[in-house]
Amino acid sequence: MSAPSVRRTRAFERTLDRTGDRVVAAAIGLREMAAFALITLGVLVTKFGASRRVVHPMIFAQIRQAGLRLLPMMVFLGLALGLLIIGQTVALLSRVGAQAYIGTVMVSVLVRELGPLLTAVVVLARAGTANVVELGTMRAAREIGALEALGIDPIHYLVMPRMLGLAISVFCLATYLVLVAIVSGWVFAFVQDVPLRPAAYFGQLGDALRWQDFALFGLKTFLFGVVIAIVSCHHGLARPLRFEEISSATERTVVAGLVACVLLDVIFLVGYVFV
Amino acid sequence: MSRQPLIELQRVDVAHEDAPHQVVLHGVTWTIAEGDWWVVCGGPASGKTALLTVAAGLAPASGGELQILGADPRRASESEQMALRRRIGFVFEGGGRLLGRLSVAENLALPLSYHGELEADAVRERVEALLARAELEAVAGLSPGRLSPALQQRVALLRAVAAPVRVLFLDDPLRGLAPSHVHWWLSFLSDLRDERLAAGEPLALVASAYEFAPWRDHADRWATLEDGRLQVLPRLPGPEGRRTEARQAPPAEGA
Repeated sequence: MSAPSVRRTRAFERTLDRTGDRVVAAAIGLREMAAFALITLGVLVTKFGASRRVVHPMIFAQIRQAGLRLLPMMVFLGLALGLLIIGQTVALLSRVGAQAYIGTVMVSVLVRELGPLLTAVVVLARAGTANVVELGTMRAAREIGALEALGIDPIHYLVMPRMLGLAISVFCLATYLVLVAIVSGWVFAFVQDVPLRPAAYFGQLGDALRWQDFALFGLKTFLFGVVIAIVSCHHGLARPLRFEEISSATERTVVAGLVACVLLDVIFLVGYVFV
Repeated sequence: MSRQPLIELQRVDVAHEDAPHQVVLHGVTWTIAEGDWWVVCGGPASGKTALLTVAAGLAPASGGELQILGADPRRASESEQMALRRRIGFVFEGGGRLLGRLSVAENLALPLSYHGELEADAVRERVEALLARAELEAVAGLSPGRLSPALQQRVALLRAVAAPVRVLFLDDPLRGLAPSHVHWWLSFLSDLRDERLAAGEPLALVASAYEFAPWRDHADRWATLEDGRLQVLPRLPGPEGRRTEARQAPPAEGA
């Protein structure tokens, strides 16, 4: 075999090795995160009522931090959605005489997909990154070991409140986002002189919504919050960290969180087909 | 009357805290009984912290038998391990690893509130009493990061003794402290030990150190860590036998 051919073969082998290493590392990371999620679920079931004087206020603090503080941002995004998507879509459908599909389009686009996913992305960017920095700093400062020395379960004290707080926050924020977008969408359509009466607009929405949409919206947003909490807490807590590694852990959290949320969204998409 | 053993190590191998496969101490056989005041002396990287964390049940032993308050931590369930840890106090070196997002008072209140041993008012009173005893009332509302390392270490000691622990581990508590702080620590520990003895609940103290000198008038059990072995000394070594003390401690940090 000629020298250039040998070099090409070795380069190909190295590429295969690197790809294999990454796949194996990703599989191990996924397994660790699944184990972390199961442990957290176990703690939630067995210790939810324990130390409520300390832990339950932390759930409310998380809702305040990840939910209430993000409300202005969600109102802004709802207005933007109303203007950019809903208003435009309503105007377009009206021009081609397809007003009858407004409700179906709104429910499919906003309630099922865009509202929950956009909310999850915003919460991941704001609260998920804050979580990984806070927990990573605690880990790097070895405060987690100090908690264990005091007989305090870090999963119960640090992860469980974040998981519940984020799950509730994503559900509430997504609800507000959808409501603001629906109302502002009609307002922008009205501004564009679209002949659509409020009663007809909201009536179509009501007709298009089924009870499964409410159930799946609640389940989906709740699970988005759980996923964001698990991913961010896992990256902050599960492995030993040095202070200089926190920024890269935060980057990994955003990527892993986005991928996890999109995959979850895909699973729900399949669910919508069968429901 | 023989004193009740609280912690027993039989031929235990101790690994480095950050490298579980790297054994730093071999075949440690050691008994900590109620009322003991141990000082374990060793040079840098001799395995002092690793030994204390294993003996306190915070890290697993690599081999051998370990009994903490009559239980084997390896066979204990998670809840049993947590219960054991509530009876063992540990003061970490270098500022005591206080929780940076909580105030000094909240750091002290956390273990008491979390374990629900006291009502909220009783927790507040207990925290105020501890802070007053350590002359730290003025810093109760401050974040630990605003305190000097010496005062952080003092708060960590208060946090460890807030609960009625039976054994108190102190990882190199006097390292880098000014003489006034050293005096405060030794007085506090002596008084605490006397109080617990008078109350019929003898407290065992285990401190690691670079040198025996500051502890001479207070501790009563001595051991050294040399060449990967724990050597229990029958009596405090004199100047000619103080091989460990010949190794100088690292420079003081922020006392």
